[in-house]
Amino acid sequence: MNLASLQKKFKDKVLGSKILLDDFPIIENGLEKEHRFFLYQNNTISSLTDILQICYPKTLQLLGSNDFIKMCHQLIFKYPPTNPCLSEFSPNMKRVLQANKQDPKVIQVADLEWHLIKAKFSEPVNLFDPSTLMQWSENDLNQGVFQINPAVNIFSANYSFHLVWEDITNLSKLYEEKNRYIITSKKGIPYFILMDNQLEYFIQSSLQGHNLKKIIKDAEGKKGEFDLLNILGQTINNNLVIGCKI
Amino acid sequence: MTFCLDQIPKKAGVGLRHEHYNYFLKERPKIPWLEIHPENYKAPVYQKILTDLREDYPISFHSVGLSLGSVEGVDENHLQFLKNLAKIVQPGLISDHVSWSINEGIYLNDLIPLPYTKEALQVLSDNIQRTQDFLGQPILIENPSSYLEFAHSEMAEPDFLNQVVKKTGCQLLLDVNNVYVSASNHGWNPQEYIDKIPKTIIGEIHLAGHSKVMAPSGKQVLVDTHSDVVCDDVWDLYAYIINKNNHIPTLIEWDDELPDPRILMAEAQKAQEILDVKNR
Repeated sequence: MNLASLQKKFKDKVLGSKILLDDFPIIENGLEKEHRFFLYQNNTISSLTDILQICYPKTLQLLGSNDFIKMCHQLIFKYPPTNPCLSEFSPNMKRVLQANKQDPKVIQVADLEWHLIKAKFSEPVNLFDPSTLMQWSENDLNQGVFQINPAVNIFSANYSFHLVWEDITNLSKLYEEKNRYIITSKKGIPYFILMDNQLEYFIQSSLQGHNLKKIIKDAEGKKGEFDLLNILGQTINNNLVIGCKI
Repeated sequence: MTFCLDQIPKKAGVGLRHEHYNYFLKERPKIPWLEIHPENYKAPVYQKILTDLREDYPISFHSVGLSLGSVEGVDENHLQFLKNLAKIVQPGLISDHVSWSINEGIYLNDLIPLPYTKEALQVLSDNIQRTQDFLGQPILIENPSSYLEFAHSEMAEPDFLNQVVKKTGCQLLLDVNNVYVSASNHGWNPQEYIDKIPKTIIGEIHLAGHSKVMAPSGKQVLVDTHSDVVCDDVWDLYAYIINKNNHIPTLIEWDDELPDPRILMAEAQKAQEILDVKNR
């Protein structure tokens, strides 16, 4: 068997293909081929399952260990990793849960957990030092464009996660309610905050490259008073901005 | 471009794992060097931890993602990632494994063994050469722990390793626990294995723990779990190697069910005592 054929068949069998090992040139020496092979399959499956348990702790809690592991095995076989840097493994728990017709609340918990992981691994190193703004003139400040933290992402939820996230041991605590959360990460700890219209407006305007003068001017036409100081405080304290450029 | 080849001291170091970051950042224990899996450091927050610790510790890279034995070759994106990280961290040594993990773009997260054939020798050597050319320095390759042997192998494992080193100019990272695990699983003599490795090619040594599992047939299999202290037999093999060789940088690996970091330090101290006996 040439090396290309051996590696392909081995990989396919690890990922669940029903290939027989009869023509695999494996020496048995007191242990059947299937048992020797199983050690490698088990290493792959169990190590990737461990990673998924770390990525999806609340999904694990809600499903229970047995059902969660079943979902992990399906995920690993259907969407195996394609990168040895496993921080990108895996966004597909949501898809597997959907395919298994799991409770929509659990599906969205998993989706939110993946967004949190993504934020953690995208967090840039340097926190914004707001004291640098003190050195700017009023004119400079008005021309300044705030850089939004690349780890930030916006999550549209169908449930009241912000009320029960820390203690989400049972689904009855979640009630239906449309919310938008802004997901961020600070010092390696990802979290989300409830996003109101003003915060969303500031974030979206900054992402479009609008300077502070334009943001304030355009806010004049909007409902409610635009509380710039409050918004800046929230964005800086929650690591939503990483700098300001003229 | 070369990295700092002479940085890793010929003393006993430990592997750095996520669970021990706080300990190392706060305590800065007196350990001569650290080794990391670069694949765990893609995120900027983790790279910052690394650059912080690099101020006080020489660091080596022990990659698990190059898949040097893949017929498909080495992934250029991963090579670039290693090169970029190496520019930041300046590792003293860079190593990976005599194995494969990637096929048709899928990464299996395990180190699958190669048959020891001329074909595999050529594939592995080509991939090592490409890696060395890309990184601009020689690398080390680690002998595998294995749970199966291929009937169509044309040579024994130590002979295969020697030929790879000769073809490519790389060095060997001799994992003593892997020698012991493979020897137990396949009925080899571990000392005879070690006697076949010329001392001039060993650039680093790994020591680790393993686990015993019972197969349905009743046969005991050793599994390279890196989740325990180094066993007495492996310590004896290590002492045998050091007695035959010059001092070699030695690393205590522990990847799973991590203990209190002081237990890791104690293991490194045991290795250092064996190195120090050689010195007398």
